[in-house]
Amino acid sequence: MYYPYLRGKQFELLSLREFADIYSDNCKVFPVIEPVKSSFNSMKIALKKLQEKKISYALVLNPQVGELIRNTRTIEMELEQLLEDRDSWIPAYIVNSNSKGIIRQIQIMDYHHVMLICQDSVDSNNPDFEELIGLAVVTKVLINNDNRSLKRKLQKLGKEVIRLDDNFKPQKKNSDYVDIPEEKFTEEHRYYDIEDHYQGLGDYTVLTSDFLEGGRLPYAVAIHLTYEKNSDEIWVRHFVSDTNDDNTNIQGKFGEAAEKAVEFFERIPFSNDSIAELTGYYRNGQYPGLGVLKKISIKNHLELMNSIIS
Amino acid sequence: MRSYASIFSSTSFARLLKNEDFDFINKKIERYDSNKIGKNFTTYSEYIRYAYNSLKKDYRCEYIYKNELINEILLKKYGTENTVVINEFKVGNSVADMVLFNGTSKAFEIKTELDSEKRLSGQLNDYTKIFKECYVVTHESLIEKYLETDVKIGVIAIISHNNSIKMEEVRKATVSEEIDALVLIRSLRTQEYKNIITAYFGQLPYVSNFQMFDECARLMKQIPSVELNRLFIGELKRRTSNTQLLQSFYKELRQLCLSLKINQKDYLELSLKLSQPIKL
Repeated sequence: MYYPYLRGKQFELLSLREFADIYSDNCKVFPVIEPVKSSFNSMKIALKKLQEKKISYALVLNPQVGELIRNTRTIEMELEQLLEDRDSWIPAYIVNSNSKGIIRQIQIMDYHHVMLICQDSVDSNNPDFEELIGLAVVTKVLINNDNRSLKRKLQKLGKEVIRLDDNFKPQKKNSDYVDIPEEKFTEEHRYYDIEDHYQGLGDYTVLTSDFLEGGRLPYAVAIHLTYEKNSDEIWVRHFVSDTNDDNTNIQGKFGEAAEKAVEFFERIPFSNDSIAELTGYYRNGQYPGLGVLKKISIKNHLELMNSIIS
Repeated sequence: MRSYASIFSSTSFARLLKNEDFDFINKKIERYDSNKIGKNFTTYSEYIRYAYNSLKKDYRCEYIYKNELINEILLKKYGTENTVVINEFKVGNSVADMVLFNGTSKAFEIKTELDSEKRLSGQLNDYTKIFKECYVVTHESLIEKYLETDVKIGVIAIISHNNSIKMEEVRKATVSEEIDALVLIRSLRTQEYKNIITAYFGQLPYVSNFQMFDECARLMKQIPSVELNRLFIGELKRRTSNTQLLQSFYKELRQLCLSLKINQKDYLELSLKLSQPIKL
């Protein structure tokens, strides 16, 4: 299984909806969603779609970033109707030094399948943490940085352990990608199971693990698209505009970046729903907006991982 | 004194409007003025007036200049009929503090006693590329220095007057019809430059959206400057603006209301909140 970690923002959620529409019959993607917005409209539409299409997901109930930090109650109340159907989703908790509180939450709500997401600050020998992972209802645990002693400990307890990788290396400005046409993204999809004995693989898609709000109109347009460079490696390619002196003429810059992307994927040749969508905008001379570009980048990565992961 | 300046922050007021969060004002009162409640002021709006007047006398930050520019020059001298005022307007590599469009176009750059004039020549150089009249707004003690920068630039000054201040136009700006189409198009929104091209040429060029900017820029250069000035001003006057409402706002908060683009309904809510007695 592939576990993309996504923040519940408009275009992240839209990419999940569109992915669900195409791949519901053949889905190896188990999204992990951290709510970050106090308005729940896009979240409700997206979760409803995932449930309709029978795609299981994990919902983080104790977000650590955004507008809902430590606001478990609001999330449970706002999404009450959707969350009633407990077979369609599992609750997830981010663990740092808050194991006691999480145990209490799980018991109050009587959850039967729980995912934990371990942050670096987790002390795996802390008695509270040991009590938490000792709960039989904790079935899936995401860990990062290939923390081997923690992995062993969890596997002894019979948990499914999933590695969560922070693969996307952000640059300060989009124009910095001009000098990095492409870079290696991951090879873990080849090794995480058979060689490294993980039960699943996760990443932050083509976004950085840091939570960033808003943003200004950029000087350069960059489109980040992952692809299978060879049978062992996934690379990310950065398609960047050429005229990057100020923040005007964003349409023209999109045209420059999209042209490079379209040509590249025609040459490989490779296409999927996301690449086809981008090609469509380019051919019609249509600028879709920066949010839609982000959606396409994420959706492309979901499509790619879905086709690769066994 | 300096710390009163941070009361007039648009992010704080946006939060106050949204969540009724008085924290940023309460902290100041607690630290400096809790003993004056009931004597010098009782409500939040009275406290804001008190803080504003203290700043006006002893620490004239940029907010005071901008707000007095609205009160003393815009409302008293120019009037707001048929006028659009915009707070912070990008031109070339600079951002004009305040700009105004009525029959003409004016840009204002504020240089308080606390500012350095380092970037001024670059800024004025940018503004004069698309604005008919450009002004430096400064303190009376600095008038001489700014009169010397460029004879075409107008100078407006804050003048201390007994216990209060007023603002005067020391020198009128020279009106210039010169306009740089390539700088202009970069200050406009997509729909605005398209409207200008359509208005002058009758239609948009037949190119894809990706080439539209470059093609419009090429065409815009062909429009005679008097005509381009007229179209530019006409287009900017169509921007949504609360300029007509400025007169009705608390006179200490006009600049804040302008930068937050506050409408009548928001203002009603804001003034209701501010008329409450101070609760620490």
